[in-house]
Parts: sequence; structure tokens; C-alpha cells
Amino acid sequence: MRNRKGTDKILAVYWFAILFIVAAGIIYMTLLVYGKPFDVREMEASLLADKVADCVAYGGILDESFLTNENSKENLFVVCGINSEVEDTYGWREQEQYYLEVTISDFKAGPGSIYFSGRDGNLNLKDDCTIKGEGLPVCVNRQFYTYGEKGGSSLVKILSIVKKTDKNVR
Amino acid sequence: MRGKSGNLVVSNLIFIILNMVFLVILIAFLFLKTGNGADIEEAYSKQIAMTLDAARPVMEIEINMKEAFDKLEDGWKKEDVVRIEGNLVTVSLREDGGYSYSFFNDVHVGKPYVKGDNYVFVITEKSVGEEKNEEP
Repeated sequence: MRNRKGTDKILAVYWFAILFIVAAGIIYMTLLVYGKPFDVREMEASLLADKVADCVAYGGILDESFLTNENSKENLFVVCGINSEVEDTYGWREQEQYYLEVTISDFKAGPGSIYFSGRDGNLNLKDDCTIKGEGLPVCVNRQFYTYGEKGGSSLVKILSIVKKTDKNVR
Repeated sequence: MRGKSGNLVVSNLIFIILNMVFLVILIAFLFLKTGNGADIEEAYSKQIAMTLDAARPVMEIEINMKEAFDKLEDGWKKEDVVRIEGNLVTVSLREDGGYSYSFFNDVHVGKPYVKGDNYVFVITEKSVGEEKNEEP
């Protein structure tokens, strides 16, 4: 009887040890899934690139007014109808959270023949695109071919970067 | 002998109660974490911001927000859940708090309204929308 009671106590200790291990596993997995914010930056950067693509060329035809507009080179946000204002948290207002770059080259002459280059936003974010890791801005590269209004074809390359790390990564 | 069996019953009872307490705490933690109102606020504000980023003028977008409405704080109306100020979407399911996320699409979004379990967003050109706002 004494032996049985002792065995029961040992079993109870093991039982609780197993329970704690299982609970720790469940809590760890739950925190892994629900403890992090939803990271939407890749989607946001893709949407930003789409918006610029529609601004540069629509229906597969390069928009000549975009090329002739003097603001296109330095004020892409304004020209393409992008509002770069962000919420006033984490000091976001002091440091721009977006960066955009567009280059257009002659398709036949090759990628080196860039005849248009425009950019806007926080240029410092571009350096982080070469590094991989959490807490860094998300960079999306897009490229497509388009016809010109007066014939010829061009290669359009778009780089869009979204930072907003504080609200998307923990 | 009766005393010993009595002890056995008490120790078994304590063992079962401790197990139950343990499971209840674990389940409560899971419920708190998975059905957290703050998470729902964040998810919806980001979802709305991304939807508005992809929107074009003269679109009318409906987003089902039943999950958010189910978590509303007592006395908090459905009409108060989504607010749009400039290019900032704020979703709040309670009086004190909420989650905001900005959208970059430079369009005018009219005051969103509730239609059943859905929220309706009407998107217009910015200048057109501003003119409309100026009307009495």
C-alpha cells in the first residue's frame, strides 16, 4: 500500500510535468501566430508599384504626358496621385515611409539606354533593399514592356519601398 | 483503513481540481489571445487601408465586418467602428482605443456607412469629393 501511494505521487509529478510541457508548447505556438502584427507591407508595396505602373502606362501604352511632365522626375507622388502622409506615431512624420523609383529605357537598345528616370520619397530606404532580415523595409521590383504612343517599345522598371516596420514587425 | 481511503479520495479530488484549473487557465489564455478585440481592430484597419489603396474613383466597396461587430463593447454603436480622417483609417470596437493605418491612394473616401453586417465605402475623385463636402 505504501509503495503504491509512492508510485502514485511520482506519476502525479510526471503527469504535471507533461501537462506543463504541452501547455508551454501551446502558449509558444499561440504567441508565435497571434503575438506578431499582421505584416501587410509586401502587399502595400505591390499596390504602390501597381499605382505607379498605371500612372506611367495605361492599357499597354506609355503615357506621353507623364514623360513630358517636369514634375515626374522629382515628384512622383504628386504626379501619380499618391498621398505619402502617414499617421503621427513612432516618429513617422519626421521620416518618410515610402520610396519610389521609375526608370524607362528603350527596349530595342537595351536596359542601359535609360531615357527617363524619376524618384520620390525617402532615398535612405533604398540601401536596406540589399540586406535581408526582419525589421527592414520591404522592397518590390516590377518591370514590364510597353508601347509608346508614337510607336516603339520601352522597358519600365519600378522599385517601390515601404518601411512602416513599427506597425508590421515585432 | 477508512481514514486511508478518505485521504486517497481527497488527494484524487485535489489532483482532478488542479488539472481542471490548469485546463481552464489554458483555454482562457487561448480565447483571450485568439479572439482579442485589438487584433480584430488591427486586421480590419489594415484590410480596409489595403482595399482603399487598390480602389479607383467611382467605386463602391462593401466589406463584411461581422467578426468585428460581434466583439463590440456594450453601448458602442456599429456606426462608430470605422472612421476615416484624411488618409487614415481607424477601427475601434471600444470607447477608449482603436487601431489606425494610413492608405496612400489619393482619393476621396466618403463617410462610410453600415449596411447589415457590411461597411460601405464610396470612393470618388478627390476634387469632386471635396466639392461635395463643401455643399450644404
